[in-house]
Amino acid sequence: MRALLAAPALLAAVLLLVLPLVLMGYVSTLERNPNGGVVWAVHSAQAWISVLWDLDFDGKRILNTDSLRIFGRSLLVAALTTVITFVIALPTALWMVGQPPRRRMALLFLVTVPFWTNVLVRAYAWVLLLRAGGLVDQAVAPLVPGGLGLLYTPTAIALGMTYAFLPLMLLPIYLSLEAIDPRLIEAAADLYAGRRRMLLRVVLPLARPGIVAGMALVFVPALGSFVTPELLGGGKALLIGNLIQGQFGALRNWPLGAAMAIVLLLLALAVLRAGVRR
Amino acid sequence: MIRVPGLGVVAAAALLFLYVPIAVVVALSFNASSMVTLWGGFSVHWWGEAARDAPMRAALGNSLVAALAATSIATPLATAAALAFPPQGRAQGATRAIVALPLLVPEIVLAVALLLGFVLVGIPLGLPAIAAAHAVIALPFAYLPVRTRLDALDPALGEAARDLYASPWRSFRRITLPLIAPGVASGAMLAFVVSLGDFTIAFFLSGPGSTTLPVYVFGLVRTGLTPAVNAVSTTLLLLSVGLVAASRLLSNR
Amino acid sequence: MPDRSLAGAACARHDGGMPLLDVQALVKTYAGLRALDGVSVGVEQGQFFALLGPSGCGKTTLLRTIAGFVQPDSGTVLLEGAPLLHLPPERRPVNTVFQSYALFPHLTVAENVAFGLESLRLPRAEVAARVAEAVRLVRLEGMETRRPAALSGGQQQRVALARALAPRPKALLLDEPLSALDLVLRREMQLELKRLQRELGTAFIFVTHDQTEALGLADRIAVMRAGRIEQLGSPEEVYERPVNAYVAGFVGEANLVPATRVGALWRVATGACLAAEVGVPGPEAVLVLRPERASLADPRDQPLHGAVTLTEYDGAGTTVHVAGPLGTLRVRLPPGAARPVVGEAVGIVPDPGALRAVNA
Repeated sequence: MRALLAAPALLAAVLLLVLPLVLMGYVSTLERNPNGGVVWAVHSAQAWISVLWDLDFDGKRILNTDSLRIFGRSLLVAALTTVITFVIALPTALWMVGQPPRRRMALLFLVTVPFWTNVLVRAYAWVLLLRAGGLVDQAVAPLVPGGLGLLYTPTAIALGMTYAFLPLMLLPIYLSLEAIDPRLIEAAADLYAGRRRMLLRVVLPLARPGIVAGMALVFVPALGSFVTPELLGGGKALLIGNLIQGQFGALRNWPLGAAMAIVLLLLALAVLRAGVRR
Repeated sequence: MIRVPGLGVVAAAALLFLYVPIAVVVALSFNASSMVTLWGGFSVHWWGEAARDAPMRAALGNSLVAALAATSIATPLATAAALAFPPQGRAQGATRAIVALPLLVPEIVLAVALLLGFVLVGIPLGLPAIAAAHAVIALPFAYLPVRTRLDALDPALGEAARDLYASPWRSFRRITLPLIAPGVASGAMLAFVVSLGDFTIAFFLSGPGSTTLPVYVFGLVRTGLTPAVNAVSTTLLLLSVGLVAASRLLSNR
Repeated sequence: MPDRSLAGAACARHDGGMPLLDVQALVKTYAGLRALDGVSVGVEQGQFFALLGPSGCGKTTLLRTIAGFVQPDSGTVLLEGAPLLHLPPERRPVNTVFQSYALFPHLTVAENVAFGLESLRLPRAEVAARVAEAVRLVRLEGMETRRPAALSGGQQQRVALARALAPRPKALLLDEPLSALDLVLRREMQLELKRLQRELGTAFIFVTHDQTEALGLADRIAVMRAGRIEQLGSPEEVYERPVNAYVAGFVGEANLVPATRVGALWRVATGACLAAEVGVPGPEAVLVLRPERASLADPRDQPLHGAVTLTEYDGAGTTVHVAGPLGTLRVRLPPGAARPVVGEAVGIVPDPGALRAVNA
């Protein structure tokens, strides 16, 4: 009887999450309708072929280096974002854990606030900072009179992504560091462990679940990010997310968009799985 | 914990990094100048402009309606799911995993799948579709605080209530519900913030007249910046931060 | 539903006839393990009944079966002759004091105590009167509007008692209620429980793993092991005439020496033969000797002897450990007795009638 209470939530998850994903898989095997949408019941492998191959002028099948490059770039950007956020988050979390309890609570709140702030607002803030004649350009004007022109460059994307995902890396690392019994640190110190040894042999291994969680939490959404590159990359440095969006927007190729979304989902799940395995 | 020199410097830099951009948006919303990033003195002029902008007001209204609807769907569903099974055990573990599924799927994948699903099944895009989708992505956020509360409850409390002649319903009404209420409220607020914060799903599922505030701002940023955008962004920011702060206060009680 | 007046029920003790609570052949299995393995026991009106045993012996399962939180696989429980097992917990006129107290954290002391009475839909005035009475009974006047978190451990314990007593249960079930208290408070609450039980005349069924607590408080003790009741009797019976080595060892200190019957005597491993009270039918037995029921003597001609390895002085006396061919035996010397030197050879002389042969 009581078990039935779970039914509505599970039903919602199935109807609005699992079924659409399955349907998307089906759509990726359908014939494209050039006016948008699909041709029902006409199956075609074209979408899956188009993920990687293109036709040249003679109608020969050639490797689509553009989409390959975009997939590669997305993976690279996601990996880079993961590394950069980790490098910033680890020392920050270590410092936070060392603070007195009351201040720790306040700091924890401070680092969660940006996480809950609208992605769009966060990306927009960087537009204000980086645009030509924006605040960064104003700040460096005495040194670089023409401005840096950072907006719509890979640097802008990297900054925006780091900014967007830093809280997601920081939180789990902080939580797992906080959960470490301080007596273990004292025991290590008592056993003549130096700082380096303590960090590498005691603290990091114990914080590993948090580090793995943080990496997964950053990598997966970074791989699928769409707003940040759209606003800060200005369409020049496209990522998978923008590629998929394009298929549903101007290009009107739903089967291809569906196929690409599935590739993205599988990549994300593979990364999560690798994280859980370890 | 462990003392390493230089940690404080990195942490300070990280906090600055996190807050300078937000502070810039808030500060520039009070800019008198009509140049978006040139400071021309303090003024609430652009707040007035933003308030008079009818499409912007409509977008804010849409955002609030979607968030309210998503919250009122996600909260009871998540609370019921949390109550369905005893804290330990496989059933609860499985429920938790299914409810948390939206966290595993990249937002754009879910957005595209829902777009296909709604269009192909013939459900019109628009605010109801957005609200339903938001309810699903908000589910884990509404579920976890309730579950945390329940896990912390002494199972003997329910037994004590029954032992003191309370029917199962009275036991739930008088003991369990009041004790998990802060978790429910905290979850509801997070659900609201999740809906309010979503851009991607709303972007794909918006139909005519259902533009939410983030989608509207997106359009403005791409077509031409006016300082009014700063005021709107600040509004979004304050809404989220206020709700998250309230949620934290509740869950710490 | 319970109905006796809280304070004036001390007379409600009738001898003979039907017991208040009659437990028959209860069996409960958890994942192949028998938590209750055919338990039968009766509790009389107004009795202070202790279920004593180590953790995992089934004593809490028995209590929870009576309360209604555990459904046994088989067996019956009768309360005043009426079957109890088919009733849900909220329909059983017994109340529980939980080990964790399980006080409702969001309710005040008065609201906690009133909870059961309100569930029973008693008139408002009666609820108020009974709450006041119960609060007075556990001496918590003035604390009515506090929340449990603002109370000390001992006070929380009193609220739990008042809450369980307010509905005037036919029996009060107490699940290791004192285990969370420190020693001093524990001692105080033991006296308090004894006083309450005498004053109210309500049957208390008390689960504990502390044999001193059981001996000191109970009128009757059931010693349990592995889902069975090993012995049922008064504290004196259980302590002085244990039915087997397990009970002798669990209730109080005991020297246990295996022995075989030889005519009217018992032969131990060294070949010596000793006289003992017989509490066992067969030829194989364990001799029980309480440390305080023996004295030290010259080792010559003593069948029990050895060398002193340790002496422990604790103010109320001295425990002497004597290692000999039968293992280490302990002897309790009264205060003022001369303390032997470690290494000294001593003989152990049991008091007359102190040795008892029981089942292994």
